[in-house]
Amino acid sequence: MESLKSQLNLLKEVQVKEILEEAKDQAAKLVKEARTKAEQIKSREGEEAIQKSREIEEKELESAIAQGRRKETDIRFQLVDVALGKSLDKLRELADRQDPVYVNAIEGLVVEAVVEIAGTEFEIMLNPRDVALVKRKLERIEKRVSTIKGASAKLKISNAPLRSIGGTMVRSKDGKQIFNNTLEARLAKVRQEMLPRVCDALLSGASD
Amino acid sequence: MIEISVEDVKSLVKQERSIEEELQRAKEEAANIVEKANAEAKRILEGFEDGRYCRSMLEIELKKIEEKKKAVEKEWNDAVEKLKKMAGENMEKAVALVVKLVLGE
Repeated sequence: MESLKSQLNLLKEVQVKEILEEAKDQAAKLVKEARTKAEQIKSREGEEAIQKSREIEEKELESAIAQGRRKETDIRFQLVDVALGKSLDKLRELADRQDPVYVNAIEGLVVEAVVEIAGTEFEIMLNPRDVALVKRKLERIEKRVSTIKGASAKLKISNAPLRSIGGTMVRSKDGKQIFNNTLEARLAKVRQEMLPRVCDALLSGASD
Repeated sequence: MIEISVEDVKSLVKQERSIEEELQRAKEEAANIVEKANAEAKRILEGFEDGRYCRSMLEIELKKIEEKKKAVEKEWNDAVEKLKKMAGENMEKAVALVVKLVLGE
């Protein structure tokens, strides 16, 4: 009888052990599967996230660089505009007070304009402020023009006032040819043709 | 031929009940172990299956990108400030050049 009881107990212990071990195995398998799955997701999604972030980075940085470059270019133009605006003020000031620099220059401006037009008779238009000044130099200007053109040139100062801060506008006798050599026109030409030089002087420290 | 007394039978029945109870406890314990393992597996996968891991990684990367972007912007802003400073220093010289060009060099 005792032997039977002992056998029953042994059988029970084996069954209990089997039940628990099976549960432990199942538990270990569940955790292992979860870890493997997590690693797979981590690896796959990590790569996806990095790939996506690289695309975003490239786009964002490109945009930031383009924006910065645009801003820098805008500022360059603004600063050059400021310099040209100040130059116009300076030219007006020199012309208004008949500064020697302007007084010396006006002769050259008239000669240059006349030489650009074909013919021998010309009308010079001026700011009323400059009429007396050019009148004093007229004979000399005629001589210079005649020498350059190789023919006797006749110049006449127009009665029509020129709306300009300075310089001149010259037209042929028949009015068919006009050369605008006002300070405004010359400044526009500087802006159009010599901007890199101005930019260089203003923004890179290069001296002229 | 084994002779079994009434007392023996009673004792065997009692042992049988005891064994059944123990087996039942073992099954409950086993269920508990599996349940805990399920919870652990769920905890391990938390954030991975619903895309949170990817999002949080992306968030970290986006923060880094934002920092890089700020550095680039600062670089350009510094360049702009440098230009303004340079223009301030060179303005007089540039105006003199333009005046010279307009009036004829």
